[in-house]
Amino acid sequence: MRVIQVGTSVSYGDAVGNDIMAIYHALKAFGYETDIYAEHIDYRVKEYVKSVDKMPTFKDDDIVLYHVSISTPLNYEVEKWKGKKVVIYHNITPSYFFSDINPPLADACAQGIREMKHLANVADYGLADSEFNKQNMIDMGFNCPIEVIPILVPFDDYKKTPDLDTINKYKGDGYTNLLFVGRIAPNKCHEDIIATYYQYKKYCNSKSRLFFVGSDSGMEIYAERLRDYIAKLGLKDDEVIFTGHITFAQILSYYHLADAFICMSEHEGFCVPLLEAMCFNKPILAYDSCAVPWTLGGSGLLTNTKDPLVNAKLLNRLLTNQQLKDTVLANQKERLEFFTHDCIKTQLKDIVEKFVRNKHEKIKGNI
Amino acid sequence: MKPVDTDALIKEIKEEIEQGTYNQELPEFKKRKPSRMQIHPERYTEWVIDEDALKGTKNVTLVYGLPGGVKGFVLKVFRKIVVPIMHPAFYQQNQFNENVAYSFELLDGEIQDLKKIIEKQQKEIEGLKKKL
Repeated sequence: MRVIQVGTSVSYGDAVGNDIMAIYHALKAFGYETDIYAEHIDYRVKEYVKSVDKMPTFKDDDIVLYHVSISTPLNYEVEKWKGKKVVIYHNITPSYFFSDINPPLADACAQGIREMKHLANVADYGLADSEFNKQNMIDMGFNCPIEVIPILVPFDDYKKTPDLDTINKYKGDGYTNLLFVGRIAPNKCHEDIIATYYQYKKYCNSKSRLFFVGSDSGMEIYAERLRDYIAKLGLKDDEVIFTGHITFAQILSYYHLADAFICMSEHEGFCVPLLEAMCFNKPILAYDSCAVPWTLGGSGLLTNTKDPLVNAKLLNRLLTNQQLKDTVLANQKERLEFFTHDCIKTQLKDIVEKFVRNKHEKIKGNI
Repeated sequence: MKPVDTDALIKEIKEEIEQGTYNQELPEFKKRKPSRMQIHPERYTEWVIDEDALKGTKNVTLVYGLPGGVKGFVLKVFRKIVVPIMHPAFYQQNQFNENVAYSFELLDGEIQDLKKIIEKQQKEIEGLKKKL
């Protein structure tokens, strides 16, 4: 019996790629025969991942973990495979976010949703990164049993040395650094963070700046609109800083520099940066939407309004009221325990064993 | 976990704002254009359709040509012949484009890393020169 993972793309360092690699190492450690196959493979993970062209014919007792995050012709191939098919859903952003910014991506997202609806009839089991994703799967017609298993985040990587040049550039100048990490995309609502920052700077703390860490690749129109908005608000380039695509060490340095993490996102399937902020012990102010409340699990400061002034004042309380800050940080620390490797690995082991057990029972029943 | 009563905090802040003199008017962020899901609703079945956008009318010139059935058949035959020729080329081109774009992204990352190294080494050289 083999446990095989198949996905569209395995990149180095992104949430899905990290999850696939972490599951691979966990399965190896549990003693399963396992492999990864993907259509697009990052050269840095080539020694672990093989091309789907080289995928063997699956046997009845194999377990296939199929990762879905975007549209691909592979989604229609799954039904032809033998073995137990487990669909792992990492979420697809609704197309309307991209319809006037990146039409091909909007098409791919809309098509991806249709393909997920098709996969609903094919899957024997479902795995979701969050309760939000699980509900998405149910809404798309998945009748099979669905388990929630969070993304395995490589927390040890965050202990690596940050980029000292970046830290030296901004550290110790008395400024309060606000941070959001994630690609520049309309579903992440950067404009709401900018508006909150504008009010925070105006009424609470003039010595503050905002960092947006993330690439705007494919989202150039949206990034341009954000820059227009920043100009309209009269904010300067050294107050709202877009880092663009940066190295991992530089990302670490921005987390080290941050005083608070703000997330106003309206669509997230899991939101790994929230865990990263927790890991760096930074207080979080987040908008109550999609998977964010589940990931925070009662920690952080969850706002139900997009009113920039209210959120700015809330942020100010979070940064200046030591008791509130300590409580939020303690809650975040407690929540982070839930996402530790050992905790999730145990869940993963239980789930895989359940698949194996059910498989054997089914075969026995057939005999 | 000690829960934080955010609702109470927000209520308190709202009262504070009402009592103070704050300018809450901000320039508007450029709204999204009418999306294509309003134009092709059948292609975006997973999203709620804006009914107002569907009430629009357009004058369409009626052109008489081949009867629908015959036209459909001709198109079907044409597609059957052309698709097997076009599809692999189209697919390969897409794959190639994606790979090229991705490679450029990786190269860009590498170039940025190398630039950093060069900068550091130049600084070291300058330092050594000064020492000499």
